Amino acid sequence: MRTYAIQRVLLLIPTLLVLSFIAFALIRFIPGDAALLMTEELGYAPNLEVLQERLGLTDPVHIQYFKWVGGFFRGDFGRSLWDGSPAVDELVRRLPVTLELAFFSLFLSALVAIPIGVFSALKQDTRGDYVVRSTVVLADAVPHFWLATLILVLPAVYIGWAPPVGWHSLTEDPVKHLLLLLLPAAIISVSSAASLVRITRTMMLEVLRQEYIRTAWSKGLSEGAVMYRHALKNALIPVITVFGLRVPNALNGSVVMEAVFGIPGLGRWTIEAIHFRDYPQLQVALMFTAITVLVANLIVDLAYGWLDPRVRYR
Amino acid sequence: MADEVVLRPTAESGRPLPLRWARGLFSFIVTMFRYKPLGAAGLVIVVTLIFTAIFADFIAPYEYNDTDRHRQFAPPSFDHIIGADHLGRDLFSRIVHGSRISVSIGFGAVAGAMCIAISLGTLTGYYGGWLDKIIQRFVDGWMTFPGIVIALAMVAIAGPGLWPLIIILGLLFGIRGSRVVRGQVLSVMARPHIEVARSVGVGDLRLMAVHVFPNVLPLVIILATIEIPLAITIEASLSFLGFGIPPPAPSWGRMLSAEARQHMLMAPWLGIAPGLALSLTIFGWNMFGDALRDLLDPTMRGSLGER
Repeated sequence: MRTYAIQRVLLLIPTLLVLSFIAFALIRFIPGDAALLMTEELGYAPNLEVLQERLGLTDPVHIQYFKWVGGFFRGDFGRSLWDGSPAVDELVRRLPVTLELAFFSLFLSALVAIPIGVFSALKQDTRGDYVVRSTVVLADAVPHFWLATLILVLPAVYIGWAPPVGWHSLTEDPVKHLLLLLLPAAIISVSSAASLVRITRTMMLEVLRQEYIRTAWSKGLSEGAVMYRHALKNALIPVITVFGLRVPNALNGSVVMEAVFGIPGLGRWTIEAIHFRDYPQLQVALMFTAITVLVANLIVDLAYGWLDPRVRYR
Repeated sequence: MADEVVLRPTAESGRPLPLRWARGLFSFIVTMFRYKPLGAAGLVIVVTLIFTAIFADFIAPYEYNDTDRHRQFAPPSFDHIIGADHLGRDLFSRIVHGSRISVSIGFGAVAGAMCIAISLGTLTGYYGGWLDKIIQRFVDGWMTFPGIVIALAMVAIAGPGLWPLIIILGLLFGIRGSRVVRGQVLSVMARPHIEVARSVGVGDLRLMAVHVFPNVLPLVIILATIEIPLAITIEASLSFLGFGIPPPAPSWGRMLSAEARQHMLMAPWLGIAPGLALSLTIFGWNMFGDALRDLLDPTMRGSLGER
């Protein structure tokens, strides 16, 4: 297990290099007239040569890449083209917000989805089960941003109330901070909850068919003990994997929700970077979104082995 | 000779693939209506959507860009079934025309994606070797970026618009899909009929096209039905964020965007109708795709990743 963990962590390094290559290549694909626009309309530099000098575009491409990656691994993420401030300063403010939103939403979806999934499995093929399954199917089809729009608009029109929009940081006012994050997190959690309900139900049904459950029943254990101590624990292990699979989705959702609710996170930073054509900033935002997914996957893989001793790593 | 015996494309279950001939297609639809009522409902929605997109000019009572000061924010009425927007454009006509964007993105992007996925997946799976190893690490990296985030970055490169979006989403899903196709190619390559074909001297190209590809096809069809609603959702999200299809094109996502939201306070139908159209479309594709997956290959229920 420990060897496996060390291997996995070491394997992050080549993957990080690949990520950096993709992020770098994407930004370099931006057509030349963008550089022209940066000088002529946005006034990043007095003329094209100075801008290219400043961006380091005069070096050969591979030198540029190694310079950038070298800086990246030393914690130098470049500077914003707009105000020249180090991108890392802003990153430190933005990243925690998005992490908070994404994991808050995953937490909410687990909180709601696992009991519903268990209920649906226990009441298989009853009316309750059908209600759950059709709700799940519908929840899957509704895009986040429409749900957000409806929640912002409909109460405002019909009962004259609108959910709070704005920003308070955690240190400034923790209660207001969590209340502000609650609604966007809940909206993102809808689609994750749908897939969690589905997998919990399937896994629960599968576990309930196994022999050790019959043994537990025949020992005369109470329903609670069979369901929760014997069945649920095993049924939840694969659910962890789905949890990990939902992380990119939560990040997608937080890009949209940050834009709708005015939350200063990584997603909005990405959008701002594109709006202002601040490419070093965009590279950093891209990298850290991907790193979040990478680390989440790593944690899920390790947790899987820790929770299920039957899983043996080579 | 050997071809006739071993090359019948079959699903894992051993049943003949239902999509082989037109007759098969017909009986397939009948099967779907009989055993998969939800899937059939999805099929009806999808067919209606495509029909609407093709005949949008005849179905829409007005031009989608016809502005009229006098019918600004007109509530739903006999003339404007679901009302009009802040410029007095008939909302129903705009939604009907919006289906064209949805259908073009869905089919365009996914057709592109399938071409990329099939060629990349087959080549890497077939030849293997160090190039495959390198490409797979690249695909790993590519799949790590959340869809909307990388699509946003690519819009920064390619610019907004229908065609750039089709290409962007095609690339996005194509590279991801190549992993699935590669996996299937690897499993097909291990089957005996490939060895038989090789032993009678069938060349690489023919082997790929005639002996491997038909066995990958059911999976590709399933992959396509999963990716079409995803592509539609990402287009709508990007348009919603202001990076997708620029106005005045009637993109459903754009109709729900922040600029449009202020008008919804005056006319809530502006916020309800486009979202309903979008959700119904996604619902239809999801249901149809699920049923298709169950019918084509019962062994791989829910095994494809979702991102």
